[in-house]
Amino acid sequence: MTLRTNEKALVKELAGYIDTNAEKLGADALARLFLTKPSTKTYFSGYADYTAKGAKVKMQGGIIVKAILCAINRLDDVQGSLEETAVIHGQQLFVDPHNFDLFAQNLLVTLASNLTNFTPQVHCALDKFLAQVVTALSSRYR
Amino acid sequence: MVQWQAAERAHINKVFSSIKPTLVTAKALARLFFVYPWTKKYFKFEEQFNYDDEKVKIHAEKVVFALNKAIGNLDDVKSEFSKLSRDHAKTFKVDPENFKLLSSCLLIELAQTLQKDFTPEVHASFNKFLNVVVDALSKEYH
Repeated sequence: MTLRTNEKALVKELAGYIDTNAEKLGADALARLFLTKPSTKTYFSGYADYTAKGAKVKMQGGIIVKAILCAINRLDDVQGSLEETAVIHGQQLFVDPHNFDLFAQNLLVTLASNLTNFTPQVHCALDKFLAQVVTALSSRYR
Repeated sequence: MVQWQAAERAHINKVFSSIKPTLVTAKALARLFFVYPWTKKYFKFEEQFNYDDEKVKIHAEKVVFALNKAIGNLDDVKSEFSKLSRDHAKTFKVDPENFKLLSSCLLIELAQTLQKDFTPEVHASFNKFLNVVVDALSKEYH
């Protein structure tokens, strides 16, 4: 799914906000994922607290969002920016790839609940961008 | 039969009473038509797909009426929706995948409207409710 020029601009506009709030946004999105689809906790075992306040949820959320930020900063090569992460997920972690889209949907809800201007245009641009992220992350399984 | 916790029922009722349901649903429909343009094929709206267009508002009222019926009978949404499901399957011939897309747009519009009040817990409860609605709407497809 190719992003148009204006869609790339909409995604890049959010980079600063996402960078400043990486841990908070990531933790919120993960907490939503764990509550709406409890089976996803299987990939994050042994956490004492699966809410957005949990120390490990904050740390892991921050890591995920920072990786997404790398992709935002290399919008013309999302696959390349996520290559290493894709190999880790596909050949070591073995996360079932359908979960990547579930996380993306929850991240969209997180952003919508934190931004006052989450217009259909911003939503569409991010949805297309995250679809590229999901494709990249799913690319090294076989 | 779906098992509902008291907190889930409370969240679902609170969400609907905290918003203007027709306005939020009209915005969710407009979001659906923008982010997932193929959904427009089911509506003869003569290119008027914005949230304040008359035909979108009329359809939003129908959706809200149905959701209110579901909220009023959470223990048996399937029976409440059996005719609606047959209509969508046999008369309107809607691809049931689209129900999940409207669901997703409703969640994002609720997050946009309720902001911090759309907590992960409230989100999870309403997500479960919409999953039940989507399942009930899909039941008469054979």
